Amino acid sequence: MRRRDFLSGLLGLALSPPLLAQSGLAAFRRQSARVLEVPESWLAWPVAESIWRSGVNDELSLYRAFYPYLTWKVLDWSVEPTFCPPQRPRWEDAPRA
Amino acid sequence: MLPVLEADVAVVGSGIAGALVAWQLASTGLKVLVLEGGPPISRRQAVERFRRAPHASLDAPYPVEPVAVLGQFNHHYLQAGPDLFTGTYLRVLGGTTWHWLGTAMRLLPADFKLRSRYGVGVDWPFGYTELEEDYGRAERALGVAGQGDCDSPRSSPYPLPGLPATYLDRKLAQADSYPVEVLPAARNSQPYEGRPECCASTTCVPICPNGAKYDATVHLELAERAGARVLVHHQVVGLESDADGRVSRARTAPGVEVRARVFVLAAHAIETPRLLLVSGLARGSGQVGRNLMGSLGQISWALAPEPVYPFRSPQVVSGITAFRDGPFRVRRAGFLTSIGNDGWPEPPTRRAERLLEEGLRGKALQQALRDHASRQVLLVSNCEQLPEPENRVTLGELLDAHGVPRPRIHYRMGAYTRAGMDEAVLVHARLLDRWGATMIHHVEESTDPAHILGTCRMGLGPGGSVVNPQLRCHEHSNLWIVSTAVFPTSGACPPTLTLAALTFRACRSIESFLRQGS
Repeated sequence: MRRRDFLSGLLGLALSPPLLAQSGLAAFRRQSARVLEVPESWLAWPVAESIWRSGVNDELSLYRAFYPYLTWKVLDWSVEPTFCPPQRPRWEDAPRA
Repeated sequence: MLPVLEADVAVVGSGIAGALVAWQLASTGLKVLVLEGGPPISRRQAVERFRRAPHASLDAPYPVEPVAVLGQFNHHYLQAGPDLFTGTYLRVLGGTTWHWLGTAMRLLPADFKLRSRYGVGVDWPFGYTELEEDYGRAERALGVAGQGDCDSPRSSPYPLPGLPATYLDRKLAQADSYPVEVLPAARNSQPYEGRPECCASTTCVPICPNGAKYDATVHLELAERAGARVLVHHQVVGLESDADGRVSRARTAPGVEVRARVFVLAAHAIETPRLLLVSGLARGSGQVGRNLMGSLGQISWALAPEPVYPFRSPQVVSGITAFRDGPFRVRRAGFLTSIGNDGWPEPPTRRAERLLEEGLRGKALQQALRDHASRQVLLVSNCEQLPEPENRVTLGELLDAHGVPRPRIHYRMGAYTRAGMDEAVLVHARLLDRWGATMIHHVEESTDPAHILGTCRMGLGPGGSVVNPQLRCHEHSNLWIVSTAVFPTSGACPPTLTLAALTFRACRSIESFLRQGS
């Protein structure tokens, strides 16, 4: 079901006239977040636009396109200490998942 | 007619050796000129470049330069085999300290007497005790955080308390009887000399985001404040000597002539011999370019039996130092084992690819990625390598962008080091196995030297060495080589602190030479 929604969404986007491109990108981003099961805010606009324009047309390709960027988000506990948030845990302390 | 610059001391290279020499000599009132072939680096821009890179490779923060770069080992080197030489360095202001790990250990007393004690390699022309005070000076200059002495006797305390061992380090230490200890590092455990404490980014290599890890820009800045002049984008392409054998001038690309009373070559262990060979200097010893060494890393990785949460500390905090010395050195290399808190040497994105191939999607994929990343363990054992005259840098037939012959490298790991690497595999296997780790993998045929040493050996006489124990060239009275190139043997620990200590020794000698006017 999810897959069919996604593919029909993509088809719809492909048929969109240029003037609707912006809203098409927004829809693509929204649907991608739903398929990937991640917050929409994780899909940065330039990344989403680039992938949208590349014409991905199936679920696996969508994952492959987004995960070079998403992996770091998914591993949020590794991203967080990177580049110094003030609330970082002391590394010798009990783990924070 | 080239524009001419004059100085008391011209320093070629702006890495840790060049920066420390410039700082020390400029502080005494001498007119110092530093010549750096590469560009300056903005930490903010480099960190941004690294963060934005789709593949966060080790060279991602730095501009592409026409020298050896990570992953492109034929870009600058001309490989003559039989093994691929993969040691790398940065040609930028501050040199390779931009992407060094920061481990700042002293050599062992036995490392200075390898021939006398074990009948292999050569002895250094002086012993540990003669360098001990300079080690202390170097530790204070760099800001070394440490606790134990790691079997190198000390007369002064570390300037900073040791960093705390990580959760992963302590879990691994409980798995076996091998003594795990915190390694001394030039990385602030608390603010030091205007630099902040470590922010645990786990990106020491390739870049420290906040300057808590020492790099040579610290002393380049101090040198400039003391009056030194630093020129970037000025690659020295040739040196000339006069009839008395004194080096009289250097030429740079894009085209400046530099005259100085003293010249200091601090351009690492590849570029330094290349420059000497191109210039036809120090030919009498027959040793320029020979005895190229690395400290080769045996790498193993595995999944811990429980989450150990890497990626929250410096890349390495602790290690096992007990394998560096012993009677076994008669037949095989010693090694230092480091515990990596930076996960497997593959991008996490590749793990995502594999999990996708297994059919995972959505939340299940995310959970699997998190679980895997939280259990990644890395062990790296860096082995010493014996000096072999056939391992060498010569001039290649192809030219670089400035018309200078590129370095041709003949390199072989050797049976002594191979035996050390084999032993390291056994140690890694035992440690990981007893811990209950899974997916254990040992890299085969690793020839990756983390450090580059040798090629302008230090010794007592001109017959078998290029420089004397004060790092002054035997054949050219006003030429000093301050570089890991002078190391007679490698030892089994990172060379940077020893190089820093040697700069203090060399600077006393240079000062004395200039004061006497001879």
